[in-house]
Amino acid sequence: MDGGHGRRFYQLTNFYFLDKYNYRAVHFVHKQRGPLELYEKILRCLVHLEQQQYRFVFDRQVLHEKAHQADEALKTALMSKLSLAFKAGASEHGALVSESLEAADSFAFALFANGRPRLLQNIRNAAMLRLRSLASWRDLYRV
Amino acid sequence: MSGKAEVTEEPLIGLVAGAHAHPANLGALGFAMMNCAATGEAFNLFFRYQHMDNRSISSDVVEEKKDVVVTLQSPIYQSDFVAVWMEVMAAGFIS
Repeated sequence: MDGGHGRRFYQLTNFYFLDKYNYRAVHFVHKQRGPLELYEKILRCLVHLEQQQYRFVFDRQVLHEKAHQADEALKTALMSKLSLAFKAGASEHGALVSESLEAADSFAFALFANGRPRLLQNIRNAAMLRLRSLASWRDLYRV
Repeated sequence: MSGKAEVTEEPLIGLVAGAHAHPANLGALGFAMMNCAATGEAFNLFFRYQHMDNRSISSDVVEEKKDVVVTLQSPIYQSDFVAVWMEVMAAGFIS
């Protein structure tokens, strides 16, 4: 599911439901870093800056939306790994990788090794596109 | 992270990156979330384990009358330092 085709498939299968997942409001603690119109276009809601707390507000009904592609067996298998890592000592902040676990077999290790680098790759890709002038910011903001 | 915004002269690069995110970016956690029967279950899973991915941000979910409120804070860093990352998360949740 990773990569361009996976993302397009995900968007197609969830397109009808996207509006339901919109925020009611977003509160940021930090100062305004760009045009407020862009914040509100991308986040599709009212955006409040320089607030006391970071708050993302959803409609409560969102919690009851069914996921039609859900596979209970696959989730159970993933959760058993997750629980194992969790019980082994990864429940505390700062205990990301427990020495008592085989690193290659640890869910926490997989999360550490794959999760953040992939998310950071999105930022690197956007930066490289801009630096190479292959895309204007108007293209990048077309979401 | 804030360096990327300076190099590209694009202060909202966090929102752009988050808007192009996918649950698979979270690795196995994302795949487990995609296989939850309901969104609420996926929410609980994410907020239970997300600190394993990012220890600089702690999160909480509170159900109010008609709303679900996700609150985030960084116990370590100043708000300006984590601003880009918070914007990634804000855009990533609804992408």
